Amino acid sequence: MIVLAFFLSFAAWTALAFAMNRHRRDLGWARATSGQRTVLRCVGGSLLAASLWACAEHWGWSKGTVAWFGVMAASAGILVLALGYRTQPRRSGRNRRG
Amino acid sequence: MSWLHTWGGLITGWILFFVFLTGTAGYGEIELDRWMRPEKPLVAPEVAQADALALGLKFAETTIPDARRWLLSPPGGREQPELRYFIEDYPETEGGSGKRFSGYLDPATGEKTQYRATGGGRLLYRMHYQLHYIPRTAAAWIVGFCAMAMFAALVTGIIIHARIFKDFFTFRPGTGHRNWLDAHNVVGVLSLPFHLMITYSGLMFLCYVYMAPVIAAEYGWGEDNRRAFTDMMFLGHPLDRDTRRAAPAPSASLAPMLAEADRLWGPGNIGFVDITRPGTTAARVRIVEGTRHVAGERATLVFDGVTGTVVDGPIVNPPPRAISKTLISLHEGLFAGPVLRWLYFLAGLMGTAMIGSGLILWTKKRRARLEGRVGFSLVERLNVATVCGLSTAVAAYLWANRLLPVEMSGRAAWEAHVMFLVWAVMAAHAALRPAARAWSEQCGIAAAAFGLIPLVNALTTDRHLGASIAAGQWDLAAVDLTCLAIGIGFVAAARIAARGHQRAVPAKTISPTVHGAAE
Amino acid sequence: MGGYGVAYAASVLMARGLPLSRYEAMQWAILASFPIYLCVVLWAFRARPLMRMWKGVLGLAGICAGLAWWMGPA
Repeated sequence: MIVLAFFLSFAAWTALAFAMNRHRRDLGWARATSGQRTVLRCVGGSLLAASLWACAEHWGWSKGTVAWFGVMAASAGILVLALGYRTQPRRSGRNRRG
Repeated sequence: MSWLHTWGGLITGWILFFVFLTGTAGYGEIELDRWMRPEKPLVAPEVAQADALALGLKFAETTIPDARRWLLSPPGGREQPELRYFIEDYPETEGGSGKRFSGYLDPATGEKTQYRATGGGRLLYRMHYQLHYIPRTAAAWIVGFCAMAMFAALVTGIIIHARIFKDFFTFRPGTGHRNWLDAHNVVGVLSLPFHLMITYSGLMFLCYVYMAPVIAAEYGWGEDNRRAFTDMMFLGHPLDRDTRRAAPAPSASLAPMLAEADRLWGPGNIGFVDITRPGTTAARVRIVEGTRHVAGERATLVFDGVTGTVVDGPIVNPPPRAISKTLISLHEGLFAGPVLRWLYFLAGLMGTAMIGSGLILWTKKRRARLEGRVGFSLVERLNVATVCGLSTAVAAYLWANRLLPVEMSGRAAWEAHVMFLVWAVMAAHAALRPAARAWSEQCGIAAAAFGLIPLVNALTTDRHLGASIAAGQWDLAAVDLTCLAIGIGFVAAARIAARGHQRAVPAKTISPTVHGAAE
Repeated sequence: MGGYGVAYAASVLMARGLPLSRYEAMQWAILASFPIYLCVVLWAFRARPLMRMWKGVLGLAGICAGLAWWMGPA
């Protein structure tokens, strides 16, 4: 259940990141249409909610809510690192402004 | 706003780093305590709580028959496998406090256990609000001031960097100032709920110090009046703090009370037994549940110590008290199981990394303008001494635990002295070396200090990784393994810092990612 | 600083003014005191002219303290 909660939240952050044009550009992707962005945001939001549910299932609601914040922070942290290193080789200038 | 964030953060940053680092270590307080007492049995014997408590009671009765307070916590839960006691005598003079004794008993034999004298993880945890070498109240005010600055820095950080939510996943690895800004924002935003909670609840913990005049305005000044409020806040009912001797009376048997607690909360779920003024007509036995809850309240049974009947001490829990109790319990995270505790640890590391990266960011942004000024190099040196030096000092504390002779007098105090001496040496080193070199050298020292801990442990005790993992004692092994991981993190940090130095790029320090992992 | 004064005075006012039991009112006041302090600090750093900031902070503290004093000990 913990692993599930973690991956749900990871997937949620990924969807939310792909909904942002900034990150799409960093990955070398085309801009998302506003329809795509809405869909990705909804998917991300519901996956986060699902992750909360998974946490509550394992820990109970009170502890689960606390754990959910931790799980969100941990999974988002890994995604941030992954995105950071994924986009690194594409950058020409190290300090290019985003 | 920006000014408040930058300067408020800078002047309190070094102390906040200390507070966050020791506080984060505090989440592993009990595991560290166990690691630092290698004489403890590797696998704890199973003893029923009631049997252990009976032995503890016998010990208390023979030590000080007419104590004002006996407090016994039986083995069980995440707490230690032994029985802990705390005995307080009646004060010799009116208004003073009585002599206090505390220690550990073997739950099977009732004998005092022979552990090495050590501050343990507890001392490290206490440092995060009591600092060290400083009177408690003064330390509370210093930490409170820094916490308030932290609170302001968090809120101003959110306001000025409204962009941080737009740049949510942005992190550009590297060593320039923009990379550090990214790192600062990322670790700040990702566990923002934790940061806000920990700061606000930290202030609530010591509110009776900071807001003493407010309490005094209603309750009046003085220790007793303050207690009238804090007992309500923390316990939910006034505690018997009467230090006068009452008339002697025979005590009721403890066993039925324990049985009642077992019936209500399930077997083996007693947190502690607190007996005030035993052997007198005023005797009260308070039994508190072992399980911790997010709301902070633990079930409590209060018995009359003479008749053995339940005294109805209803816990008053109006909404504001429930809120403050929950805040405090969230801060402590004692309800957390292993996984959740690791998440707490991680959030603490993120907080530490946020402060550390904020401090480094200050120098990165101003290097071009201020390089060579006295103030600038002071900040730069203090950063090295805090980020790397303090980490090394914490490792030195663990080294001292293993290397100081066991029979040395004042041993526990010397462990802490070693920690602060090492910190002083690291600070001197940072002051004497060029800043860029100091970074890479101190990262190297820190890497060695942490990475070698499992080795030192294996050479000096038989509680090394081979033994603890084989016995399935993961909480013991976790200390060694975490030190090893931190050591590896610092190795990577040292390499990055050295590479930056060789390139002679002005911006060179450890990478933010590694830095986050290393704290 | 002045912010502490305001937070203190406002908290005493709350502790006295809230129509609750002594403990309950006090606990609310203590809970609120830190955010109040924070708001005052943030506001003080926004108000550019130093005099205006001092006038505002001291004025607010004075009003709260005055009201609290007028209500008298509960």
